[in-house]
Amino acid sequence: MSDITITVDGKELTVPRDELLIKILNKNNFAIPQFCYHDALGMDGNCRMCMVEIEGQKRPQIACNTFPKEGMEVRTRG
Amino acid sequence: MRESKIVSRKFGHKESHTLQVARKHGGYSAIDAAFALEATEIIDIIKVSGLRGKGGGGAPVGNKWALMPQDHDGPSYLAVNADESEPGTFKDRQIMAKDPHLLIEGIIITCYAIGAHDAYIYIRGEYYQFQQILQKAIDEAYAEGIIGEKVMGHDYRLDITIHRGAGAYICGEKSALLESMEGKRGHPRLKPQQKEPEWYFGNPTLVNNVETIATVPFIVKKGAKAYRLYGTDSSPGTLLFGLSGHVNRPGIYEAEFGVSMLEYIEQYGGGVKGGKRLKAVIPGGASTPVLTAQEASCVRLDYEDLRVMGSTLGTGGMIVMDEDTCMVSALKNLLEFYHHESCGQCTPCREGTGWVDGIVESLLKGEGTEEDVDRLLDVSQTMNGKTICVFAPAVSGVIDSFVTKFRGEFEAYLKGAR
Repeated sequence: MSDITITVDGKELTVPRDELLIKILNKNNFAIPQFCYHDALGMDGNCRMCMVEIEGQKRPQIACNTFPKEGMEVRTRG
Repeated sequence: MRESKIVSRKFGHKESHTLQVARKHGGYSAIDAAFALEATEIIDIIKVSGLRGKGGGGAPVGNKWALMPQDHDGPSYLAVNADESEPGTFKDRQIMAKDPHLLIEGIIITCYAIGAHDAYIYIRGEYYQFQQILQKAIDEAYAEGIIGEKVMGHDYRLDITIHRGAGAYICGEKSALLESMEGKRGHPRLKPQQKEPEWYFGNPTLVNNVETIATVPFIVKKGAKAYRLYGTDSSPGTLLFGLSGHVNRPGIYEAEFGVSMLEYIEQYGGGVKGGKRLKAVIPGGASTPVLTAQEASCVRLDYEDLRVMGSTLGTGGMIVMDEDTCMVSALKNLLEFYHHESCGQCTPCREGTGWVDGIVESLLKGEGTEEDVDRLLDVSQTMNGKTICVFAPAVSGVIDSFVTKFRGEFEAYLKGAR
């Protein structure tokens, strides 16, 4: 699958389309707290700790249930 | 205020819950009209009528029906949400007690429109008495060939099953309801990225409130235009508004959207009990932000006007409070409920409801500080918009409205001030 470009805290990243945002953040050393997500167990979506702001979204979203989209702007620090 | 009875039309008749009386007053007359139409035509009629979900959300019903795939490889289902556990709301109960055959008629038409052959009614466990009445009505309908292998002679199988809940408030949330029906713990599901139907054991399922379903026969029989004669342009039709609290005649009275709240309370509720002054009204079941008397005096009962007031119409079950009500105690009462009923899945809600309950309790004991009042707003902010379902945002709206509109009362409880 083709790679896409997203921006996290002003840093541009080229990432695969089908990888969860939380995995991308973990791989690229963005400190993002997480309780209920684990690579081996998949997402559960109820600790609500991995919330990130996404440009254009009214509410913060959980990174463990979000897939990247072309041109997505993500903020992890308020 | 003109009389507008669509759902409650047969409520006044004696023995109105029996098939004989229902039939005498036009029950099941919409079925033949519905089967003369294509399924998609019924969905179009509902869309044109502008019918909005009557369980609290107020989302357009036709669009929701249109999400149901007509060519799904496998069964589709209808789940009727009768888990009416919102404090101050008791309208579905009236339908099931007074006119269960109207509900069955609505279920038949809805199932035909979405291509479902099995319907489930998820009724709250506490409604044992009403479940009995409803079951009797279903048995009558089976015996008369209204449902079963053939629906009133038409080549369409339909079975209706009642499923009793076990007492959890959150099972009124549609995805938690289906989880519960699947035999799991009643936790709301993560919302899908795009619009899609709900899923019951992997099959598309429509979840609608009892009153919504009970409105369908009227629209199919009389047409979308007849329904639009009532209410406003964007909130067409009627709702079974309810009154409880400090009024002379609490109860369920159907009215069209757009009537003035104060006029409704005066005309149907007979005004505030004991001739006292009005202090506040919770407009639509406990989970909607409270309105002050001044706001209540100028608001109209429809989705848009209440939104302008910073509240929501919810289920239309108004809780009226007179001038002697202590708003801090009233909030404590609500928060105890939310603390108990939070399903515990999301951290902000599970912890937050407990914290705010504790803070208000300490305020009531006279142990609070100035910071506690602000802390209530702070915790409420942390709960808003960060959870899976709308439980926590609803609690947040309640706290914000109570604290900002009646801050003086909260401060009166501060240490030393009282």
